Amino acid sequence: MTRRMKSHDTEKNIPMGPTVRRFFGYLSPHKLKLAAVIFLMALFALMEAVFSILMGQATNIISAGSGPIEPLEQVVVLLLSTAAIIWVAGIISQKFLADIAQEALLKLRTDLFSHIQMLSLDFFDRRPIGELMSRVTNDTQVIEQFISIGALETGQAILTIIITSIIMLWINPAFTVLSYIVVIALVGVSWLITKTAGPAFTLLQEKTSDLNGFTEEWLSGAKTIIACRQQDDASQKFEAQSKKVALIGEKAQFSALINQQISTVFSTVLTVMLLVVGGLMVMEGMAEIGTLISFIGFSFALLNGFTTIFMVYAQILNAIVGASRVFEIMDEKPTVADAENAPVMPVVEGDVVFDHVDFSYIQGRKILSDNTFHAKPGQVFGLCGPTGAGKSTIINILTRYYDISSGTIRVDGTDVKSVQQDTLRIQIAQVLQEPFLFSDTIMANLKYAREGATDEECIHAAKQANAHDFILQQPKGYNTVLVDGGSNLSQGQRQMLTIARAIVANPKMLILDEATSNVDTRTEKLIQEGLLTLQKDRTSFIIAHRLSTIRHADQILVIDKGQIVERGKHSELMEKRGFYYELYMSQFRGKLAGITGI
Amino acid sequence: MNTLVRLFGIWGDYKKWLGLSILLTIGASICTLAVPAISQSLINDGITANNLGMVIHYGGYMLIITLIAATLQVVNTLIAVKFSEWTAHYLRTEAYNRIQQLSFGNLDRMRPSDLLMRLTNDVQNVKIAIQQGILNLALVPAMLIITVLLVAIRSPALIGLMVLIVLVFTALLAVYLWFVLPDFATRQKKYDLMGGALQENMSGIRVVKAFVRQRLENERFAEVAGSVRAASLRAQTSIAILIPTMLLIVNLALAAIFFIGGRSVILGTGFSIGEVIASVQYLFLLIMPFMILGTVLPAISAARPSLVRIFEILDTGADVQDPTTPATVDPASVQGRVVFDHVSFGYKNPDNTQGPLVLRDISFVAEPGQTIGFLGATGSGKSTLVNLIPRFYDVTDGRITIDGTDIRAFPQDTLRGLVAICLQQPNLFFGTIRENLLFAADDQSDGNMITSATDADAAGFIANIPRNYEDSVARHGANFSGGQRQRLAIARTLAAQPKILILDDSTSACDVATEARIQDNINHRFEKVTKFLVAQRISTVIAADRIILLEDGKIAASGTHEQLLLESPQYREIYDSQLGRGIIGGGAS
Repeated sequence: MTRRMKSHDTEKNIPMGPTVRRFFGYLSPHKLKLAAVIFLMALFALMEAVFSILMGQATNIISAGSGPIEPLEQVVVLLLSTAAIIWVAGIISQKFLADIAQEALLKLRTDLFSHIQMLSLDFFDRRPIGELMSRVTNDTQVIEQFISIGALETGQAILTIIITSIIMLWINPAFTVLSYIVVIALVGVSWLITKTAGPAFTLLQEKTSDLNGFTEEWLSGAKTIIACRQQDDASQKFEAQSKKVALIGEKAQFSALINQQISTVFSTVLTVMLLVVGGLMVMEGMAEIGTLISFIGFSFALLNGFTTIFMVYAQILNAIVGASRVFEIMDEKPTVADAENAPVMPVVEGDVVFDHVDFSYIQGRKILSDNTFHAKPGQVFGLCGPTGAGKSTIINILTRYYDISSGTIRVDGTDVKSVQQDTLRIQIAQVLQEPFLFSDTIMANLKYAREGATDEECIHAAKQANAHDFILQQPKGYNTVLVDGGSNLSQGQRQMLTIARAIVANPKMLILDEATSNVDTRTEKLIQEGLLTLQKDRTSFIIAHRLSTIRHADQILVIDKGQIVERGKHSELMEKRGFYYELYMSQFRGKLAGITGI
Repeated sequence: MNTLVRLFGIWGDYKKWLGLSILLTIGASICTLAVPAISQSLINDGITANNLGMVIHYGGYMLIITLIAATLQVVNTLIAVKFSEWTAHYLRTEAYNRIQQLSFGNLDRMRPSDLLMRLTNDVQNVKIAIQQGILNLALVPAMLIITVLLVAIRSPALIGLMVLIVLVFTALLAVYLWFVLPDFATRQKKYDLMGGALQENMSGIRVVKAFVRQRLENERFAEVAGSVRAASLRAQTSIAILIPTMLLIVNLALAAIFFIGGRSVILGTGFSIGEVIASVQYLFLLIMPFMILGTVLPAISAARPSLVRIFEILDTGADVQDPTTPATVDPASVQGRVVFDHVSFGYKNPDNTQGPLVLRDISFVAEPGQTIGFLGATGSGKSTLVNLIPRFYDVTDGRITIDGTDIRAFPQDTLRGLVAICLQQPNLFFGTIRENLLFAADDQSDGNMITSATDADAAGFIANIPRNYEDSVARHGANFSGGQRQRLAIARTLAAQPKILILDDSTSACDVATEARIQDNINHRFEKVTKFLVAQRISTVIAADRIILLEDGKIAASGTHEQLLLESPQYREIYDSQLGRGIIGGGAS
């Protein structure tokens, strides 16, 4: 809630100038094309005005009554050529503008994406995926809409207003003043009317998104609602919200649609006023009838120009807000930053030392305090303890996803803070709790672990992880494409693939966050075998949810409330009859049958 | 066509307003088209004839008639808005109410995201189509016919030109609908692909970082973003050609009017200057319907499949139906003896045919107060089995009884008042903690709420929240951790104070010690309640009165922990793998 309020505030106080300037930076590589677009737009506006003048001339010729046909023919030829120029200028300028817009957007999107890749994990904790997605897709799309449609319309409108005004003044200043008075009055009135529709639409959007949020939540909880017998209640709540949307929708839509009618009336008012007052001037001999006809054309051009600018104004604001939201992300600095000129982490043996390590995600709320341990190369360390004790956090700081508050973490004697984080991380294989796979082929998923991994290496790794057999049973073997991150595989098969992937990476250190979900006993055995292969000769840290997985560990760290409360081998800890013993025994719920070794 | 007929059926007596709408539209069209005719008279009889009185006279007519046209249109707009908004409201609520009547089986076949799309996007599509349809469907032909007639009567020399323009614009409209619009659809698809790529990247960001593959990810993204660019460019290039071309046609037509009309005036073959200018206005009036069709036709064609999808919901019958003559039951006297009598079950296929059996010949008895634990791998049928007890699905074969009565004889609402289940997915709802905890409870007292929270081991963390039970729950309970959500969901189930309690793998995110505490609390408070526990962890069910081991939808073994250890090799295997051969001392394997 607070987060939402905050982002709302920032939307109101966006730095307009700098945002626009920064965005123009993305257009600057296309200066030549941009200049061509502006030139062609000006030509377009000029030719439109010329077209109006020519129509006026034609009217004059016609109104003179019978006479030679040649002057009319000349004007018509000119009209045709002007039309052709307008056509060509229109096509080329729109095409160029589309080119520029798409190039700039591609650059903006890829920049944004690669910037996000650089940010530290805390960024992803703070920002829900949905919000980030909307920045890369929606916000850039709003910008795109503005450049490819809005900018064109604005440019054309501004140029049309300028050029038309100049020509009008040149032909007949009195008519110009008359037209301007009428046009400005009409624009003013319609602007006032648009303003009344605005708040209704904002309210409609709010209510609609409330309704959609409710619907989304209550549909995904449909089974819970049935289980809790709340169907009627749900229907009533839905109907009440839907009614609100309909009532406000009525108002918003009506006022928006009425605007169209008002503008039709206004354009007639414009025509009539020009005809009456202008007609009077023609009768007084102050102007020709052709001039009057041209000025009706000019006035419509002006009216359109101003209306467009007003309509596009909202779009411009949206685009600037969108751009500022994009730049806000691009201004995020990774919280875990490499020191300047940080050296590459040399190839490690896997000697890990935690030396009085404290850590907190939020300042003042310690998650880990005073953790000290030493894992020698090739040792297996098990981490256990209640939920929320800090087991995963230890893993997160060893891989330097987060920087610690005090103390040091040393790998092979090197402080992990002093080296380039990527060069450290690449030497630690990770098997995460949720087996995440990409929607790509199985082979591509295995190769993901290491740049330059060969097919043979991947197949070898799959064999070691007991994954080879089921991979071959897939429709296209290693080239089978995983749908939706592997929903065409079973949970156990996905786990085996992540193990194989870690084997492909083949580093000296391993982090294993044990999966909680169960698979059938046969698959379970295959997975355990794969994991043991993986642990061989590697300094391994295993977060255990089932204590049986770490019974063989060289050292078990029992963690409670951020501190290592006990440590030692399984047998030592059991003899101690302390925290670990209690934890271990609670699994049996006093059912001691089958237990040996008491 | 059927869907449209049905839509008309929904409108019932309101339909007569549509008749009025058509009359209004025709009236408005006539008025709109009268304006150029009057301006023609204004120029001819007023300005050219140097008659100021006539100028003002005709100018006044133009204004009055425009105002009449606008008023008619405003009334029609009101009709359009009322029809569209309230039809949308009707369809939305009817569909939602229908969904509330459905069973789990129906919900499995229609995914929530799909239902959401139908209730939001599809309803929106229908709404826009109704609105635009009422506003424009009668207007377009009326305008076209009247304009052509006017030209035919008043300036027959131009009729050929006008017909030609109509044909050319029809062709341009066809090009737009068949060639340009699909390009925009392709662009949208590419956008969706980009969205998918992003979603995957961000949900797998840990993996990306773990293997330091940011560079590969950048390349992959550049590729999808590049395809978005290509698709957008294609669509926009078509537009860049189409729009100036339309303008070109209009300009050429203008030149033609001046040439044909002007020639006629100069040669004195019947045209007047006012007629030429009026023809220019007719030209614009002729083009307008095509501009309208360009936006209305896509909206209407999008709405038809949407309407079909909405009606599909309305026509869905619930899988589980209440009995016609329900058994009378006094909830207070229910003991909770649950019997599975040769029960088999298979889910239905999406096409409503019977799918393969996932439970086969299950028989057991749960005595009141007993705890039955179900153990088995993912996909063995545990959850399915317990979902049959509150009749979320109906058995395919055999029967389930409670105190001797077939559960199909109870009204569903009565049955679910007796049986409370904590589902695997702990859904919480936007609101307060109190509202969530008492969501299923008849007893809305503080005492019930607090006891239930305490028993579910949730009271502790609730006490640490600023406003305790009155504090808010975000959508989907996003402000709580997985373990906390599970405990709140358990508390909610306990607060229902059922006769039969089912926990479907509800403590999987809690550690074993917490789980043990919750179970002890439940056994204490609900001593006489029949309890079913579904678990993946052997520790969850180890203390049950009876453990039923399921394998591939069949009971592989059944008995107490001690019995199973002795009798069932499968059980022994799970025990060894999860609890490490039950060895306490001894050390490494």
